[in-house]
Amino acid sequence: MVVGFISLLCSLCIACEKNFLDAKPNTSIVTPTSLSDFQELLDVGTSNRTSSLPQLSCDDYYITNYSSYTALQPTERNAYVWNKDLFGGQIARADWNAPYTSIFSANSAISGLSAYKVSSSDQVQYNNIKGQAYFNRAFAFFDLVRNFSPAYDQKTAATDLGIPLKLSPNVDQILQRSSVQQTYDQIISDLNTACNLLNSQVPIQYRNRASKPSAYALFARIYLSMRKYSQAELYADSSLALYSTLIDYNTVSKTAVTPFTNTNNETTLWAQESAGLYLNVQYNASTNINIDTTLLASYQPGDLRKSIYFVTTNGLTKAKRGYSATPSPFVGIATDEIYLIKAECAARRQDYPTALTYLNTLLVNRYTKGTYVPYTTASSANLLNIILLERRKELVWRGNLRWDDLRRLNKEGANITLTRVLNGVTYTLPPNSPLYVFPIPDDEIALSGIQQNLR
Amino acid sequence: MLKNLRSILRYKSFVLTVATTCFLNCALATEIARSQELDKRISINVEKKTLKETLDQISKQAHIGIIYSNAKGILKNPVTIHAEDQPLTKVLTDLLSPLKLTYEVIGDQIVVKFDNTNSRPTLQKQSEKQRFPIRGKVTDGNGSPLPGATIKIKDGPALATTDSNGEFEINNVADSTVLQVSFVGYVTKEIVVTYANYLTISLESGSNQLNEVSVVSTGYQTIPKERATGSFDLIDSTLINRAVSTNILDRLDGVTSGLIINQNKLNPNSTNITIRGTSTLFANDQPLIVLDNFPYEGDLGNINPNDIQSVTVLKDAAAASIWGVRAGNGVIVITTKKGKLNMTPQINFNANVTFSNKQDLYYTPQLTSSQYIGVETYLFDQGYYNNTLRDDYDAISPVVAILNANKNGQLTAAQMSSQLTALANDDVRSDENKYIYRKPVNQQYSLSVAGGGNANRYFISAGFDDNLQPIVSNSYNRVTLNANNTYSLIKNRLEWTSGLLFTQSTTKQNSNGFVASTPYEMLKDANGNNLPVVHGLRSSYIDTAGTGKLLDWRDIPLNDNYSNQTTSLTDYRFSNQVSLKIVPGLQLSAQYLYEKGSTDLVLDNSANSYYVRNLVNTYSQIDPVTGQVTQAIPDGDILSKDNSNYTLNTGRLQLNFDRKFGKDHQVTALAGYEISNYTSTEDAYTFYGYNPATSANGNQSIDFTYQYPQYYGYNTGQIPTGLTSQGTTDRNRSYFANASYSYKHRYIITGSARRDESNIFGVSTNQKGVPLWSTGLKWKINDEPFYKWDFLPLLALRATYGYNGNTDKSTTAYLTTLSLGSVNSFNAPYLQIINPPNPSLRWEKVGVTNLGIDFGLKNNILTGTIEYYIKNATDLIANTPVAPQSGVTQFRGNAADMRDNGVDIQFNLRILNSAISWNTMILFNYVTNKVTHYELNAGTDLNIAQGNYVNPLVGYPLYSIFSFLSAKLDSKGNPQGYLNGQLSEDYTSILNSTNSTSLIYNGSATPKYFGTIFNNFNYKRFALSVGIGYKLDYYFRRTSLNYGSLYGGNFNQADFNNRWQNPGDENHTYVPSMIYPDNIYRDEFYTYSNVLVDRADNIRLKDLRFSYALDKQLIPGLPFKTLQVYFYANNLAILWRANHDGLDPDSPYAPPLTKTFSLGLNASF
Repeated sequence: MVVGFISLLCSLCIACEKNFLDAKPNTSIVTPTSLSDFQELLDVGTSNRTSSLPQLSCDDYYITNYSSYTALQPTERNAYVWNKDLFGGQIARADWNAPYTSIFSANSAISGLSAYKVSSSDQVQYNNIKGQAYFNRAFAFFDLVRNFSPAYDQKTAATDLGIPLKLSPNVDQILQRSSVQQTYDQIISDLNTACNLLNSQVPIQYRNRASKPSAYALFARIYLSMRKYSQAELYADSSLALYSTLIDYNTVSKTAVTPFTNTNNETTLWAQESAGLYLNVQYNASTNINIDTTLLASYQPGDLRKSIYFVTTNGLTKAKRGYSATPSPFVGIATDEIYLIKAECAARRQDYPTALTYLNTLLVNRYTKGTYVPYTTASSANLLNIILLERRKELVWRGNLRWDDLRRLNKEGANITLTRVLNGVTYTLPPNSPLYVFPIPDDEIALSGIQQNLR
Repeated sequence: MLKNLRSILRYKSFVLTVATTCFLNCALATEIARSQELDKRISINVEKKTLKETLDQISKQAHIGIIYSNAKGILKNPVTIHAEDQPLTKVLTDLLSPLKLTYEVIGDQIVVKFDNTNSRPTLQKQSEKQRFPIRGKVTDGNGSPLPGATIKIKDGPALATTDSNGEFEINNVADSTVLQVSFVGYVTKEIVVTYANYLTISLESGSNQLNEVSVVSTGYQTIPKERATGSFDLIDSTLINRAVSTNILDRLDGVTSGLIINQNKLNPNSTNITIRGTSTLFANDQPLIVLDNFPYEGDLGNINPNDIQSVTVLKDAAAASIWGVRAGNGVIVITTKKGKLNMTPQINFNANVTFSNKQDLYYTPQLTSSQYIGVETYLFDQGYYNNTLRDDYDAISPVVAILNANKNGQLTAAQMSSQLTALANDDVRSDENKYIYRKPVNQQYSLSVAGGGNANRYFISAGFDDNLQPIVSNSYNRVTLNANNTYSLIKNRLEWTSGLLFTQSTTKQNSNGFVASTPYEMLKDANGNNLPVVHGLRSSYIDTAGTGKLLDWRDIPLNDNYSNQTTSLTDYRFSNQVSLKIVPGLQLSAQYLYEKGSTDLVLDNSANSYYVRNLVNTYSQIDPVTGQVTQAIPDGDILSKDNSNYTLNTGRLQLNFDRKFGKDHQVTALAGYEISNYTSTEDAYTFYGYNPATSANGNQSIDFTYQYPQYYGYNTGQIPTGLTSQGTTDRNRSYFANASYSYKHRYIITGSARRDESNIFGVSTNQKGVPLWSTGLKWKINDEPFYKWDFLPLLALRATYGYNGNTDKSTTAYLTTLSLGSVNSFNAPYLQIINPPNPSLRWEKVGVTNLGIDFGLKNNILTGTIEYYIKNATDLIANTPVAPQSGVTQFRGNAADMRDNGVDIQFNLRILNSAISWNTMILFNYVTNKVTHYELNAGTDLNIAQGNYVNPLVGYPLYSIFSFLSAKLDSKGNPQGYLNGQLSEDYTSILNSTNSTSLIYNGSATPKYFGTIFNNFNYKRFALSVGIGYKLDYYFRRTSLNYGSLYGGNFNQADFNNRWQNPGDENHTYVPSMIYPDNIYRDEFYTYSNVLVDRADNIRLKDLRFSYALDKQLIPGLPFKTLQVYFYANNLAILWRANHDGLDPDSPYAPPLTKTFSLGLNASF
């Protein structure tokens, strides 16, 4: 009894404490308030995910038999033949949801950071985290617009349908689609903010985090896709000025399943395709797929990429793990892409020596030592095509890049038609087809009522 | 006892014949009228009233039972007395002495007697006291004779039993002997024997039985039911003990009006008890369980049903609002058994054993082996397995292996066909029946002792349950100890009660329980050898993998058919209550409860288990040159432990007031303050390479961050650490008050108010609390002077209104994130957003209106209660799909309102009351539920049909069955629906439509009408009770054929043979044709089409109990006072069901509850 009374008195005293009701109900929940909380909010895996649809739809590979095709998931099947109904009943597609989850985290961080009282001692860290938040938002908006909106065209951008531009973490705010122009304006604005805030050094240990070199590089990639080549070249220069390391492929294992680590030296921003959704076309999956044979044939003797990028088993050649070091294709930013952007832009303005310098600097690292024959001014006339082919060979299985190029180059008049033959039926994707714009997943349309793409 | 008797014997001549006994305060009447009670001060003003009236008034005011008689007509004498705040002794002396009467405390009452002081015999003359015969009759409250009533000397042997006319005769009884008259179901009455010609003894019906039935407990106070305005449902020990079960909740099913236990849970997250419909969407939907005045936080399975005296279910606001925000779903107040003052030790022993049938594995539809082989062959021909067959290690079924061997020329067509035929004859269920399942046997034993002395009472019990569960490797046992003790101190002004409850249970399970992967899998060969099954990897691969250097990679289920997981639950509950009577009518009590529980889960996968061999092999590498095997996982067991603990500290300070003012006014009130602090922690870890003998483990040799390559394929994986650590804190602070005022006993008004505060995360202090209140009225019409209906001696009306509440602590007002302790690909920890900001978060509130009528016909032929209620739940936390552009796919907020209304009716009928008695109890419940407001979008039609409870539609019940209208199949066997009124096969558009008006609303998924009818028959010492339950007007969806699921390997499909196969089949079947590749939306359309919705209505023979009672009176030589032998059978049969498929609508997918048969005995000494 005495014990009981003492305990009762003690518990009553506890209750009188003013903050008795302030105890956290669960140890694992956190209201983000500190800078490290905001960093952790941005480090969530969804921040570095992009849609898998462009990889499924592009001409990097083909499926070798019909039964393999029919065994795929509906989205994989439909994307392969550019079906009008893409998702075939599948909902909660990370192709759409993951970028918006990343935008939500970024917006939550931005809104939290705006309420944070910054001191002189943590100003640098504060700026860097805020810069990452803006970068992540731009990265996600760009992934959405290039998949779910028509390719950028200055003439129609003001009327083409963009994407809903979520700028606040309010979940009850549902937006309609902006225009393509508004979307790109927002992306550029966010990236500008990011560039002003981010650190100049690539974070060697945490390559999932943005830095100035990767923000400039993203600018270069975006302007290239907009066919604004002079801006693309300027940003490529800015990026390479801060970080231009290339890997000598002679140092890379040709037999390893995972030739690269996710902290390899070419990566300035690590990202991968939304994992787990459509893995059946990966190299280690059982699906009978093969890398495009023309593409495979274009690798010259001595080109190390063929054995580092691909593996041939049971008569099928598939892509090994790339810079992501995971089964999902790498969709981040690496210096090789920036070298190629620089070379392409220089060639387009007919500065062939510059173009050749960047092209050869890259390629010499891709061939067995002593076997690489540099391109010379003799190839100037055809240099753009050479660079585009090298781009194709270098950036194969990099998620969106081939699909982006198809959209961009067809806009330039390249007139590339894709074909698939399945079970005797031929499917074609004509240049500039509306099928280059993916439909928005059914659940988004049903819940927000935004306008669907016409396919 | 002896002392009592002596005090009685001291006086020779008493006022004896007992004609009337008066109890006023029923709750307190059984409290002993100790000599200290005589110090009680009372005020009384009586002017020329009869002595009877005066004594009644004193009795009421002093809360003491007074026994008196009408000998010599003295009770009619007019008396006058005026006393103001005088001790009871003085008042009684003043009143009685002029009439030559005195009084004495006898037993627990005051007995008024003739003043024979002058002729008082000396002690030596005691033995010469007068002896005489007595005769009499025992009747019920309405004058009907009670045959079989027992008359005995108090705490002594029985003397007589009444005959069929309720009469008895005893020769040679000593004067002033205290007799006890008892009859099952009635309040035992005590009389003091005096000489009289004939005694008429009227017993109060058990429905008003003191302390047991007529007193309802709210957990804060006990109220006589006649003074309660709210909706209380009492389940007494008879009803509780009617059923045989390990768990108390099973015994409330069917005996509690308005309470339903749903076996077919629609919402997998909810448990299954519902009281008066649902009034929350996503917050806690379970009633609050109160055990001896405090909420019970442990597992309800810890409570031994044999320790329970009574259960009160609080259903409306007036009853439940005292529990505040936790009362939104109703409150179940459990009161355990207690001892009684001056009671000789009563020993009770109860033992029973329950047998059940094996689970009916053939109830769940499944493709036969030959049908499934047909499907596999079809898929093989379509190339479905080609991808799997490309590598050499992915598992393929034996049939696919045979088909592939034939394709590769390794088997001839004839060999193939004979092998397939052999497989087609196997049925895995026969082996499962033989080796995996058994007939469960549950044993239950309980022993208790209850008793009390002058100043203390106690109850001690021990219980043991031992259950062999339906799966051979699984078992459960439980030990419970319960002790409570009450001491009266400082002249009974201070009472101290302490209670201790201890439970220890052990659950043993096989965590790797066998799940068949094909219908033709076999577990033993003809020679009795355990067979391997295909699991994870291909048989041909594991036969050769590692060329003998790896561990045996075969999975032989029967080799692992033992329990490897032990869950031990230990629970202590220690309570203390001290009450102090400050002045008469005012009592201060302090209560303190400490509860601590722990759950230890130990999962030991032995080194020889398939689980360990498979994991070790998967992360082993063999050096191609040296042949050296490198294991990532060290040799030994893999032991996982998960310990969770909780601690609860609760304190309560309470002031109780109960006082009568004047003749007509009575006030009962309480006010109090309560705090509680609940904390829980959970820690889990895993040891690899564990050696049980030395407890050493090999974790240090593992790099848990490293991506180890797997032996087969190209995958890598991390070895899971199994480490988690988590804690929760739940703090509450409450202030409450409750008052009841009654005028002339006829008009009663009650009110309660309460404020609850809790540590809801991220809410500012003023939003942490919520005020709740209730009010109620009762009018006892039958007590009105103008009331003249003799045929209806009991008639009362009740009405209450007020608010209960509910919380959902998982929702917070601010952006909250969950730190999972996981890291991203760069070993950086990250936060995952679990809760988007929600600044307007509020508590859920449930407004409850309750109207009730209590009535009783003459002679108790029919008594009953009819109640009508409306529950308006507002500000409900709702969960709804939101457009993914928001960054989340679900949002929780106060966004919904819901309304329940219904009727609870309980009738007790006395049909026969002769040698054979026949009583019937009828429970009838009607409840409807409607979502009245839902701010958020309900999603697509498919969302609604799939999970209406997640996507409720305004205007319909929370649990509804919606379906798509289906036309007949087209000429190719495709299902046809309607899009914009037109026949359509555009399943995508039909399912994704947000025009919910195109959905069919079939009806509620929970019964609108339900109840039970109990018929109880008694003949001599035999008793039979039969329960029939009914549930009406509700719907369920039956499962049929889903090709996507079938191709994925789920062979539990119905209707395979009824599928469309040939043109013309569309005229007699709705089951779509088999197509390849599968079309998800086509499957979903059929699954949710109206042709698969059935009415769920059913009437079942719930249970049956048969018992035979023996006692000492019948067989004097018996070693015990009473002995009851009983047989109980449960889940007996469905008498009628609306569906024609032979499905149990409460269990359409899985085998229904099996029949159980129990045999038991209950003995008291």
